[in-house]
Amino acid sequence: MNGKPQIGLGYRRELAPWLQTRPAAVDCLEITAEHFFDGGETTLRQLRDRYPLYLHGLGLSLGTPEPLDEATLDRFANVARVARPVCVSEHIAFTRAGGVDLGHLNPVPRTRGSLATLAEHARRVSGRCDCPILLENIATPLDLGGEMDETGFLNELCERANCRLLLDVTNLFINSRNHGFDASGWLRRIDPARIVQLHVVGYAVRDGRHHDTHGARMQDDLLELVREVIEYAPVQSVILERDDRLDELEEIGDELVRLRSLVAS
Amino acid sequence: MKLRGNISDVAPADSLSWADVLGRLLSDRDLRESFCRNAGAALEPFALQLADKAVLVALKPEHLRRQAQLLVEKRRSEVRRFLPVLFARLGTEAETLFAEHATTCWPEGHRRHLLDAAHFLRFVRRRHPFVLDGVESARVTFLADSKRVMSLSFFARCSGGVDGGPGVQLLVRSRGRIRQWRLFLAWPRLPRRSPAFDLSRV
Repeated sequence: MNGKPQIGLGYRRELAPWLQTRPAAVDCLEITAEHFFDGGETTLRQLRDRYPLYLHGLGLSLGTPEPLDEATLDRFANVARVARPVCVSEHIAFTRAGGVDLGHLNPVPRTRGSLATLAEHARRVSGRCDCPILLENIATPLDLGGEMDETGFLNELCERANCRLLLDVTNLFINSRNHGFDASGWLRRIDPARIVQLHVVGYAVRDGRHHDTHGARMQDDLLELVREVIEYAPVQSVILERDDRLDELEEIGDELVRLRSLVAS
Repeated sequence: MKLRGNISDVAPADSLSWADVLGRLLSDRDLRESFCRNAGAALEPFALQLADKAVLVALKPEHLRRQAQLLVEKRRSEVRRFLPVLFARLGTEAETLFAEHATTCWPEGHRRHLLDAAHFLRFVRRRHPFVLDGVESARVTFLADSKRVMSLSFFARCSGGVDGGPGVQLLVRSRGRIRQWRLFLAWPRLPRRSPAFDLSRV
């Protein structure tokens, strides 16, 4: 890795006016592919001319043990064609099965079958988009178990799919608190060379459980875990994944500055 | 809009996977509760392979319920972005109403949140027709539709000095943006144009 990690932001329409001012705190942007399935190519071109872009998927459902939905893949690839991202990313999860679109990410069992499905789908998406793919861990209260533990599963998945990890540090933190395991120990069992991008955003605590609401300020204990990951792995970019309270521009700017200070220290 | 159907309508019984059945468990409250009472009996009708059945039988009921609840909460959070006025008016009843709505349909595709909002509007209208905000409802209805032009009558409540009363709203979809004009009929006023908003998020 050359230099410090880039600091970026998940692009949301509400942030467009602020991003027009080219804030110094933003090095790169993550684009949610679905937001551009029905148009917005002009905006995409403008963004790619100003920032390195990372393209993030939500609905390809890589973990579904069926062929990928071709219409969704076509749309995703078309957005990639326009955005020319550094890489694309999706989740180690499924959203669609049994004729139902569940609308959100659900875990897969850690079996050889899931490895084969995820690896095949990841390679297919990477090939269609003609750029590398990163796979992201999710937060979930549901553990489907399987033949291996999560870190072993992720290491082998990256090997078979010839891909690397988008480590969502907030999801790791939330899972560690809700399922009662040590996040640092989990991290040390992941091949560090695989971790090249991070997602982070503050978490919420409700009824004694941690939740990913994508709208809170980053907490100190979460940032401590981020620092640990950056020291451990050759992270190339860190994306602040805010989805809520997007009118709090000063706060968002402060969050980006905090991340930049973290990677510089 | 996907409504409830038989899982055998989706795929032959001998080709169901753990994902097919888990998808059903997460989206069908009755099946999920039956599973939580007796997992083996609930899975019997599905001709699962042994390995897939083993995965599902090992699920903890509490975790399954939490994941199902999480899916509904995520949907509610997204729909609230489209219907902030409605949710504010419903107050604490919004959660219960949405949970009931969420059991009856699962919108598909990249526009699912918008379609979910449009369907929730119809659901609420059947129960509380006077709680809806005419302007907000018209916008969501138009967004979810594929028409280029729509005109609707509405009745807006006066709120904080903002105009209220009956009127006609005209919405036009053009070049990825929606423009809307509202003409209030109770008093003689010129048509009022609202700021255009981008379709790129939807």
